[in-house]
Amino acid sequence: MEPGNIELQLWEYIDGICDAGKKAHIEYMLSTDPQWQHVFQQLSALHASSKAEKELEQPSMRFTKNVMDAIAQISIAAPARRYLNSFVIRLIAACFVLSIALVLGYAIVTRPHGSGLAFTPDIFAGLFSSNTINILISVNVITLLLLVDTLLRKRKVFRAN
Amino acid sequence: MQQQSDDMLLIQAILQGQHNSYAQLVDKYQAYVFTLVLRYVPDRPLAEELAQDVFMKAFRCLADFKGNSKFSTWLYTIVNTTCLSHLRKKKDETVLLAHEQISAHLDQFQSTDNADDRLKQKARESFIATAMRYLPPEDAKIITLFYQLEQSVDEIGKVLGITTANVKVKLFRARQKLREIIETKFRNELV
Repeated sequence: MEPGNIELQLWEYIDGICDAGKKAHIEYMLSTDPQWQHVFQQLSALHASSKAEKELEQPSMRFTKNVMDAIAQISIAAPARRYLNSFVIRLIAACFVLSIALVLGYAIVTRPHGSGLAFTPDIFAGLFSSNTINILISVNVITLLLLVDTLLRKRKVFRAN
Repeated sequence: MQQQSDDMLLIQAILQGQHNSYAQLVDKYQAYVFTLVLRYVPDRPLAEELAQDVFMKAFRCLADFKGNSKFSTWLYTIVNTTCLSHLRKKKDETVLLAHEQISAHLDQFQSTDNADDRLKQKARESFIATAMRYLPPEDAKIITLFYQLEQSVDEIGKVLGITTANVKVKLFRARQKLREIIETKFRNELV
């Protein structure tokens, strides 16, 4: 077995994140294979040394005071969920879908007789001559833009947090 | 678990207006945050400035922390986004310690036949820290998050915004590189 593959399995064993079957297999290999034993010894030593390395870097003595002076000038923001209501987003999306459904429904209802349900250009031929439909299409476009803006704003806040 | 509930009590007090309690959180996590920031930006004054930015952002967004994860995990996520944002602006490069500096530093840790076990352990720990400075920032920060900041694989995934499977691969590669560095430069220390 390639050394890399042995190491990968042994690290999972050392970290305690392998399943019962794999664990049993590794323990069998450790009890019978010298190569596995040798690699396990090396990895265990590295793991123990790394775990023992608890020394952290310390900032300057004034660090906490600097932070507290800085936050004295700012206030805690309201939770993002309070001004980005998911219900509003869903409502806008529902209005958009309903508007499209209305336009399509109107197109189907007013299609020329005998044309079936095939979506040929003729079905929409008279669409843009109607003021009602033009208004509905404008509402659709505005609703779509509102939805995209709200979603992008939500993603921006999420990323900033 | 106890630490998490202590943090939540502090956070609730801060949100209720006791802003001075935030100093306790800063005292508790400043070393962890500063150590992690140094993995992104080795320049100490700059790292301290970024660490302060992290705590300011954490304070501003404290109302968004709902306790679904550990406070430390949430805080380290802010470290990651703040540092990456800074690096994107500055396009900084990691400066590795010069070989001469490492050699001079190593002179302190030459083991003798009658060295005390505790001194040997102390020397061994310090050489790990030195070896980590040879690691690329991506590898150094994942090793720091796992060992020094004691984050689990899942938590590291949340901090770095990557999948758990990806964390395991990166951790494996970082450990391989660390091992190569130690075997090349610190062979006598790793017993």
